[in-house]
Amino acid sequence: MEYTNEKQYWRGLEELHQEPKFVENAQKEFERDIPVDELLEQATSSALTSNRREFLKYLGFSIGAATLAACTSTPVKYALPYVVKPNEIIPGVANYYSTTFWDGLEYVAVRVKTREGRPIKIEGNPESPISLGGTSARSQASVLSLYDNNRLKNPLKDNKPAKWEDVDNAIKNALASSIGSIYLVTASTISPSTRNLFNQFADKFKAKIVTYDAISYSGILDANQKCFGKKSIPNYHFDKCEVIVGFNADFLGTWLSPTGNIRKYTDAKRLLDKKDMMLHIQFETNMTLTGANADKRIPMKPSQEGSALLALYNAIASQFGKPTLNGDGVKLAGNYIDVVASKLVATKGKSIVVAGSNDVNIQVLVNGINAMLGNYGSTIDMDNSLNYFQGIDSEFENFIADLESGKVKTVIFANVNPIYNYYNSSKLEGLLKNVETRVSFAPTNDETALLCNYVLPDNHYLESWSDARPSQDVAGLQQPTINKLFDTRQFQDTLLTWLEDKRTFYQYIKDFWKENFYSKEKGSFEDFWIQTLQSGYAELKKVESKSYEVKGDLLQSAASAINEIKSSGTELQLYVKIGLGDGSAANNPWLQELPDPITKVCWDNYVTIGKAFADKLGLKTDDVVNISAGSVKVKLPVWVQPGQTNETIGIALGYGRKSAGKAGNHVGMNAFPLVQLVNGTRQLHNHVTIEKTGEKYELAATQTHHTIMGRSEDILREYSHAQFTKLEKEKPVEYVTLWKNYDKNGHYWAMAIDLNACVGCGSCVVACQAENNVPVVGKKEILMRREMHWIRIDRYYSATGEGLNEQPEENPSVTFQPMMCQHCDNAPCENVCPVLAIAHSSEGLNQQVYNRCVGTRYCANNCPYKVRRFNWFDYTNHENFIYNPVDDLGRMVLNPDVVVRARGVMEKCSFCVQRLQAAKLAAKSAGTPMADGTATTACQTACPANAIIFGDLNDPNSKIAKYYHNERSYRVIEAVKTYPHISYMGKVRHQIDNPKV
Amino acid sequence: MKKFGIEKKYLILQRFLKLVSSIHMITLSIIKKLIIQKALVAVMLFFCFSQSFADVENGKKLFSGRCASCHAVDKKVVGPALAGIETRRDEAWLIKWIRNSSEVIKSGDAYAVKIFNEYNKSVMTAFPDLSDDDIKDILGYIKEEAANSGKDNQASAGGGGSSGVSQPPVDTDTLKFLLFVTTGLLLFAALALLFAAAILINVLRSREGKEPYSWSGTMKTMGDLMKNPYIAGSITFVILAVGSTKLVTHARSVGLHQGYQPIQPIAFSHKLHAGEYGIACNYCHVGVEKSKSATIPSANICMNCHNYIEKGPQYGTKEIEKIKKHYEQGKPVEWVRIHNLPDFVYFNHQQHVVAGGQQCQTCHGPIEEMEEVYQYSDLSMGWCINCHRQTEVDVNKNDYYTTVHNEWVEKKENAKKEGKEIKITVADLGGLECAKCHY
Repeated sequence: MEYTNEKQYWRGLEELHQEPKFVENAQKEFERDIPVDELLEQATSSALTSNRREFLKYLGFSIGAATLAACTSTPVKYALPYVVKPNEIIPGVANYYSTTFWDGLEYVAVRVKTREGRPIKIEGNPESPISLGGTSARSQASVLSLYDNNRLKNPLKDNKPAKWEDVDNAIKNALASSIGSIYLVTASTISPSTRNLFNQFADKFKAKIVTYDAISYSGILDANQKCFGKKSIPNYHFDKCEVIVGFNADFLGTWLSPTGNIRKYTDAKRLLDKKDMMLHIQFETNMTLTGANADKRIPMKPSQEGSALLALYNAIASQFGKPTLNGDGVKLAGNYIDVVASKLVATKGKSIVVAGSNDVNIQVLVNGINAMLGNYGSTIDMDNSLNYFQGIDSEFENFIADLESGKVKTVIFANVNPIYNYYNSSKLEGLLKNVETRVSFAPTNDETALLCNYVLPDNHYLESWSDARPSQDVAGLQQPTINKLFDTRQFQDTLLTWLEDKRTFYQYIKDFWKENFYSKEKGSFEDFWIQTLQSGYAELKKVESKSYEVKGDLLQSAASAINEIKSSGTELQLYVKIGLGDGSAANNPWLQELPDPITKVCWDNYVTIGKAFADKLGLKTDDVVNISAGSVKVKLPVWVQPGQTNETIGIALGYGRKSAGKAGNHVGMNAFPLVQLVNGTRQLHNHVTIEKTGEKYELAATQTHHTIMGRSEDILREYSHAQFTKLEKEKPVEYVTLWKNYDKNGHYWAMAIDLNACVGCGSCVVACQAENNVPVVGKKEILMRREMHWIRIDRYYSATGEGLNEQPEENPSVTFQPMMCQHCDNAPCENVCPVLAIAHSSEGLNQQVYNRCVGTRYCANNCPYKVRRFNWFDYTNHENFIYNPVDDLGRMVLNPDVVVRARGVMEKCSFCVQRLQAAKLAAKSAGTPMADGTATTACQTACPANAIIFGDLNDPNSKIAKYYHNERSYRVIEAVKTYPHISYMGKVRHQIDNPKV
Repeated sequence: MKKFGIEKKYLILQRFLKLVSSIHMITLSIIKKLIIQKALVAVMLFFCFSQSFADVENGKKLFSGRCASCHAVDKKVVGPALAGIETRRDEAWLIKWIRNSSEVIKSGDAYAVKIFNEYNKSVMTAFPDLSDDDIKDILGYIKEEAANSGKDNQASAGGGGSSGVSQPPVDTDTLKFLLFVTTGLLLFAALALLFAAAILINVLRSREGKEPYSWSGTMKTMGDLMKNPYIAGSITFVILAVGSTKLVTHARSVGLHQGYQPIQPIAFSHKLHAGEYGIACNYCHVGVEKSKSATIPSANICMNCHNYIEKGPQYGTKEIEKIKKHYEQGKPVEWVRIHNLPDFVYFNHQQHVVAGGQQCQTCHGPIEEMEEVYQYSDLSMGWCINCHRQTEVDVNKNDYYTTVHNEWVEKKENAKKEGKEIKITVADLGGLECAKCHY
C-alpha cells in the first residue's frame, strides 16, 4: 500500500504562514553568505588597493612567518603514574558505579561512568524497578554540575571564607542558646537515613522540621490523607492501562516520576509485537509534552479543571447508576467528557485518571473517580506508594507566621532556596533579617545563601553517601564516585557533628540499613550491603495493593468547593520545563541549551499564548509584555504557541535566577511570584492582565533551523489505529546507484526509531552532548542557527482541518522525530568533499574525519537531512564561550575517548563509533562472537522510552534485524535515494470520534 | 725563474706528504685501538662464560625472575642468604626443595622442618615448571655470584682498586664523532694527494723538457661543457630532484620524533630489567592487555622488588633511592613521555597486543636492549597503515572473526580447495578505514 497522508506538517507558525524570512532561510544551510561583494566594493572605494608587488611582498612575508612559526619546538609532555595504583582502576578503562540521582523533583537510579576516577557520563540503571533504566535530561546533565566552578569551595561566615572548625563551634553555641526555637527548612528528601537524622536533630534541639518543595504536591498528599488516611503519593502503573485521562498533569514531562512514567506509558503504547495499544486523552491548558503525545488533546482553562472532573465524575456515576454529586461541571469541547466517561467505564479497572492541580478538592475528586473505576489495587498502587514529596504547604506558611511573631532564633536551610522560589519572597526576605542565626547548606552562594550568615556548602551528589527510598518497596543507595573536589562537607555529616555523633554519615547509613532493611535470610550484612551497592537498590517487602473507596460526603464537599471556582479574564498556567526543572540546575549550560520539547526555544522563558488570543491582543512572537497579577509584575517576551487554550497564557518556572552562576544568571524572568496560595496550597495558576510594552526581544528557537529544504513529503508517517491494523510490510526499496555498491559483510550498523514510542523528552540530546564532547554555543550563536547538537528532536505540528481544527494552529496534533546523521549508503555528503574528509566504512558508517576536514561546508549544504554541524569558533578555548568547560576543572567532564574538535571543521553523529569499537574489542579479546546489545549508542541507552533500537543488521538473531523492517518502517525522504541506515517506524494514534461535535 | 718555482714547489710538496702520512698513521692507530678494545671485551666475555659448566646466564635470568623477590645471595631478605647453599645440602635435595618445599617439609625431613620453623613458617612458592637443568643453572649462578661478591669484598677490603670485571660501555656518540673526524682527514688527504699528483706530473714534464699542462685549460673545457643545454639540463634536473626529495622527506617528518630519547628523572634501564632479568613487559605495564594505555608503572609496582633489592649493578643505591623517596613521599615520578600521538588519533594497546597478538617490539623496537628508551618507530600514519596492510589476521583462530567475518573464512576455505593460500590482512577487515583511529 502506497503511503498517503493528507495532513499538512509544519514546524512553526512561520512555516505554516510561509513568512518571508522563513522561506529565505529554508533555502540556505547557513545564516549568512560570505560577504565577498561587499568586501570587494570596500576595497575599491577605500585605500585598500594592492598591486602585484605588494601581493608578492605579503606572500613572501607570510611564507616566511609560517616557516618561522613552524619552527617552534614540540612541548615536552610528562606521564605521571599513580604512586600506589588503586586495584580497581586501570587507566584507560571505565568503571561504573550505581548511585541515585534526586534533584528535589525527580528520582533516577543511575550508573555513573568514571574514567581514572572522574565521573564523565550518567547511564540509567537498567535493573531499577522505579526508573527502569531510563534517564532524564536533568540526570544526564548532572555530571556537568559537579565540575561547576561556581560551587563554593569552602564554608563562608558572613560571606568570608572560614574554617569548618570555627563555624561548627559558632553554630553549636548558637544552637545551644536557641533550643526550642530552631527551624530546619528542608526540601523533600527520599533518603530514609537523612529523615531519621532530621528527627534525631529535632529531638535533641527541640527543633521544628519544615518540609518545603519548590513545586508543591501538597494537594495530592492532603487529599490522600483525607480519603485514605495516608499522606503519600501512589505509584501509577501506566503500563497496565487501556485508557489514561490526564487533566493538566504533565506526567511524561515533569510530573512526579517522568522517567519511569515514560517507560510504562510507552510500554502500553508499543506496537512492536502487538496490535492493540492504550488510549490517552489529555485535557490541558498549555501545550505540554504529555498533551503532545496524547491520542486526543483537548484545550482547557485552569479554572475548568475542577468542573471538568466533576462532570466526568457525574457522567461515570450515572453510567454505573451511582449517586451523582451536586453541580453540572463543564463538558468540554462539545461533550468530550461523555466520550471519555464511556471509554473509562468500558475499561473499568484498567485505566488511570490523573490531575496536576495542587488543589485538595480536585485531587479528592480524582481519587473518587479512580476509586469508582476500581483502579486502586490494579493500576494505582496506594500501598507501595512513592516517597518523593512530603512538603505540606501549610507547614511553610506556619513557619512564615512563626517568623513574623519572632519565634525563630535559628534557621537552617537544607537543599531549599525559598528566597528564589517562594511566591512571596520579598516578605520572607524582610522577616529573615530578624533571625539571629541563619545557616544554609547550599552548594553555591544562591539567593537564600546570600542572606545567611553561615553557608556550609554541601557536596555534589556524586561526592556523597546517601540512600533513597523512592517507593515503599524499593530502597536504593547513593555512593560517591569521586573524592571531594573542594573543601565541602555533605550536610548530613555537618548535622552529625552538631549532634556530637562521632560516626560519619556513611557509617550512619550502614547502621540504619542494618536495623531497618536487612534481615537474616539475605545472608551476612556485609554481603547484603556490597550487593546493594553494586546493584544500586534493594527490593523490600512488597505489600499487596488493595482497592480503596472514597466517602460520599467527602466528595460532596469537594464538589461544592469546586463549584465555587470562577473563571474570569486571562488565566495563567505556570509550568516546569523538562530542562531546568525548578531552577536549581540553572547554571548548567547543557540544560539551558536543551531546546524546550514543544517550543524548541532555549536560553529563555516566555509567555506562551494562542494564535487567536494573540491576534486579539495584537501580539506577535518576540513582543515584550508585562504580566501582572495583583502587585506582581513580570516582563517577558511573547511566544505564539499553537494549541495554547484560548484566553490563557503559560509561563515556565525556574528562570530568572539572580545568583546561579555565569551561565544561569539573568536568563529569562522569575515567574515564581505569580504562584498563588489558594485554600492553603500553593497553586500554579493565577488570573493576570497583559499589557503590551512595545519592546521587542528575540527568542532563540531551533525548530525552524535545518528545514530539510522544503522537501516536506515523506518525512513523517502517521497512521490512525484503524489504518495501522491493516498495514502490511512494504517491499524494500530497490537499490539503484551510480556509485559502486558497498559489500555488506562484517558488521552493518543500523538503527530503528519507533516514533510511536518517542515522547520527545530530550534525554538523548543531553546524553549525546555528554558522550561526544559537543560544545555549548550560547544564545547569540543559536540565533544565527549555529547550534551544535548532533541529535535534535524535530517537533512537527499537523492538522487535518476537520472538527475542532478549523484553524490549524488552534489545536494541532504533535509528532516528534529524533533526527541525526542517517549514515546513508548513498551519502550525498561523501561525494562533494574535496579533501575526502568523509568516508564510508565497511560497517556502513559515514565517517567524518576531523583532522582531514578543511571546512568547505559543501557537505552540510548537500545533506538532505541537515544534520551536519560546523565549528564556527574554538568553542572550548574561546573566552566568549564561557559555558563550555574552558578551565581545567570543567575539562574533567570530557570523554577522553572522543576528540575535542578544532575550529573550522565539520562534525556530526558518529553512531558513537567509540562505543562500537570498544564493544568489538571486548568481543575480540574474549574470542567470542559479538552478543547483540553489547554495542550501544548514547542516545539509545539514555532513552527512557526505549524508542531507539540499535545493532548489527547482519546478525540474524539481533533485535535490530527483527524490527528494522516492519509494517510501519520507512526511511526519511526515501525518494532521494540516499539509503539511510536509520529506519523510522510511523506514529499511530487512536482516532476519537465525537458524534456530538 | 719558472724552473726554480717548480723546484720550490717540489720541496713544499715533500713536507706536505710527510704531514699527510702522519695523519694517516694517527687515523689508523685510532681505528686499531677501537678494534682491539672490542676484541678484548669479547675475549674477556668468552673467558667468563667458559669458567663454569652450568648456564650461568640462564640461571641469572631465572634467579631474578623467580627468586630475587625473596632471596639475595649474600644477605638474608625474606628467605635465607643463598651463598654457599651447595655446601649446606646436596644437589638432589635442593632440586626437590626448590621445586616444592612443602612436600619436603611434609615428608618430615628434619632440616626442612628446622628451616621452615626458623623462617616463621612462611611457605616458599613452589616452582613445578622448573626443570632439573634450570635449577642446576640457578645453583650455578648462585655459586658464581657468591664467588664474585667474595672477590669484591676482598678487593675493597684491600684498599680500593677496580674490580676489573666491569667494562665501561663503548659510547656510540664518541664512536660516531671519531668516524666523522677520520673520514674528514682521509678526504683531506685524498685531495692533497690529487693536488700533489698534478704538481708532480708538471715537474716530470718540465724535466723531460715538455710544456707543462695548463690546468686552467681543462677548467675552461668544463665550462664549455656546461654550456651544452643537455648536460646543464640534466645537472639541474638531478639537483632539483634530489633537493625536492629531500624537502618532501623533511617536510613529512615535521612533527614526527623518531629517535626521541629524553633524559628521564630516574635512570631506569630497560636493558637491565627487560633484557638481562627478562622481566615480562606486562609485569610493570599492567594495562597493556586490558586498556588502551599500557600505563607507566606506579611506584608501588617498582617497590614490589625494590623493597628487597636496594642496590643496582650500575648506579648502586643512587637511582633506587629516588624511587623509594617518591614512594615514601607519595609523589608520582614525572616521567617524560616518549611516545606521543596527536589528540585526534585513538590508539589502543589491548587491541594490538591481545586481539592482534603483536609483540611490543614490533612498534617499540629492541626495548630490551635500550639503556634509555627512545622512540623507535616514527609513529606516522603511513607507518601505521603500512603495518595494517601487511599484517595477517588468522580468522579461524578467534570466534569473533569466524562469526562476524565468516565471508573471509569461506573465501579462505574455497581458496584452499583450489590449492591456493590467501592472505587476509588487517586492511581487508577494514583496518584502513578512518574511523578505526579517528573519532
